[in-house]
Amino acid sequence: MNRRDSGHRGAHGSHGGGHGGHDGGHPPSSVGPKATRIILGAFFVISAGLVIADFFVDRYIEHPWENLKGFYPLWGLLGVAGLILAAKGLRRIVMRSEDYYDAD
Amino acid sequence: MPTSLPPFAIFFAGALLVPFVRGWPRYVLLLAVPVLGALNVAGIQEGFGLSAGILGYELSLVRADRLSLLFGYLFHLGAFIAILYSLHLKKEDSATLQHTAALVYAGSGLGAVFAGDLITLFLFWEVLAVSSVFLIFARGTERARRAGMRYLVIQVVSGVALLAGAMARAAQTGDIAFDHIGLEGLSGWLIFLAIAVKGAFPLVHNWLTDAYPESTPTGTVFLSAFTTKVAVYALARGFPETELLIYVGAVMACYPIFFAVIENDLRRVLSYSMINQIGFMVCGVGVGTAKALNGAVAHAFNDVLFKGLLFMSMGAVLYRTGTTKASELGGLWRTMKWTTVLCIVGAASISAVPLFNGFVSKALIMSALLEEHHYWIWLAMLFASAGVVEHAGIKIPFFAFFAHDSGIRTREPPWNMLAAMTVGAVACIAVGSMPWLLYDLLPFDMDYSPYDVTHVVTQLQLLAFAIGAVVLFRLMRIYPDEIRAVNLDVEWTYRKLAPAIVRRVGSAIRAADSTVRGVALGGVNWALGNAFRHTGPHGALARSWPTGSMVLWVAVLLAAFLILRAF
Repeated sequence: MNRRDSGHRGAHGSHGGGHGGHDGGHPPSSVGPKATRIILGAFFVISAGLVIADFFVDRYIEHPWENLKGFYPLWGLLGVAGLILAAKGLRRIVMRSEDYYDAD
Repeated sequence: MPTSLPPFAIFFAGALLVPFVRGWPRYVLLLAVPVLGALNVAGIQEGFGLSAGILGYELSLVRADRLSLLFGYLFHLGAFIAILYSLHLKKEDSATLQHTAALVYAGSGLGAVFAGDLITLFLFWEVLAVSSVFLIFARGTERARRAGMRYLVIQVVSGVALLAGAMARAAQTGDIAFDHIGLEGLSGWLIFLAIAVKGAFPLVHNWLTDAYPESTPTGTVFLSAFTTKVAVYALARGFPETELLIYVGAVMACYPIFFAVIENDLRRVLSYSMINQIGFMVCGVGVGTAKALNGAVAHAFNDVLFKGLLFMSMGAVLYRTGTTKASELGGLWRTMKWTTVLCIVGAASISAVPLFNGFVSKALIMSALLEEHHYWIWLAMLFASAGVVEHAGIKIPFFAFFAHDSGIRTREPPWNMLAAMTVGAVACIAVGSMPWLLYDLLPFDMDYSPYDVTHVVTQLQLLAFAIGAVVLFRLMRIYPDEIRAVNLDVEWTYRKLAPAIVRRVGSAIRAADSTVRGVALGGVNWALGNAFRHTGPHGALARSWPTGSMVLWVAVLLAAFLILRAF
């Protein structure tokens, strides 16, 4: 039984029109540009709706910071942005070649 | 006559029978073990106990209360899912070894959570370590063998600390019961240390991120269910309301997410994610109110389900493609549609999306933190929650199944893997949308509903904008690329630094040794040389002298004697 099928690699760009729109230097996206636009568009609409909801939903408050309009969206956005930037910085310190521990 | 068996006994009996059956009979046996076990546990009433006398101590093999029973149900559910997931194993996967080790491992997890005293706990603590390491060795690679040895050493050290703590406690108080312990005296700290290692606390966490990703596709699913959850159980039993745990939990929830962002191996990302989730549980135990403790054990329950589901989906990817490196994967959704959907359910659950199970348990911990006025910790945990969305909610499914097209065309995993993932996903959604199913089993009665408008809206806001940060960084092309690399962590101290020190010290000792030997040998050679010069064939003392000179010397001696005698 051939259970590992990693050999079945299709040539890039041979799977129909889905890969038409990718940039020159970047590998093709596995999701077509149209679908990507629809998904991202829906995501931005939902996100905007959630911020607007902050002004209409009567939230109960357990902590003063929660009283700020947009506290949760801001903390989520800044938290993850800071996380990613810090992690990129961390890479400069801790990243080593893949065989680092094997090579002795 | 007890009407119920000790829960571990059914698993150990199953493990004894596994080597003697193959094919369908083995499938039936393997699945029957957790089913019969669950029926047995369902018949155990609160307050049920079984004890045995050994070496003058009364061991409490089974102590059933709401806390131990909850973990009992959980471990049966986790074992059932993981066993179903691993049914297909063939001879070349060391099927008998893996199946036997898995049953012993799950059984000892049950033994540990039902243990009523520290000696019984220690025994199962060690069996847990020794049985689980075979799930790592079974991968069959040199990397797995080395990681397994490191894992075993660290787990055994944890067991030794537990035994030492138990003995110190017995000497101090004459009591070996496993109830509230607290950070008092040497014994309390030793037992705490043992649990800290098992629970992958900061600085002693690397065994988890080292060994779990090296296990077999199916082995990691078992590993993720039991060891660390036994630690969480032991903390909830022995160290509730220990303030130190609040801070330890916050650190645990926060620091692994930085490593998870830059890690390339997706099963290692999940291992870091696991430490992050245990951080929430540890924090809940530290707060120690009824709601916080309920939240901690409920989150342990849910973590077995969603982390198991995520490890299963990555196991399916590993099984079909031979890798879980994000840099090699992408675009698998085309040929693994079901696996993709099930993975996304796991990702939504761990991210605490409303209607998925992570939401209903994390809510308890966050709410308890606010009630107890731990505002800074609450803020840190909110940051950690947003971080979970990044690495487990998006990174795992995105880089495996979407992202750039790796060109890999494969197919869905075997039916039993899909079935196990489906059971896990259904459980995640069931608990998430009907939280009372879980809440009714929790150790403390409470009146709480996670589904109110405030909580749902704020959680969705946090999630949406956490995702938004990732989307923006991807669009701006500053999101970190997936790079084939290793990232140094605390393990560097024992995988590189300590060996280097040992090598240095070794070579210094060798140098000193050879100097001392050189000097000593020189001395011996000098003495030998002298002896040779004087007594050797040409030495003055070994020469054969002519008779005349002999007579002369005798005359000289005689004369000297006479002169001395004359005075």
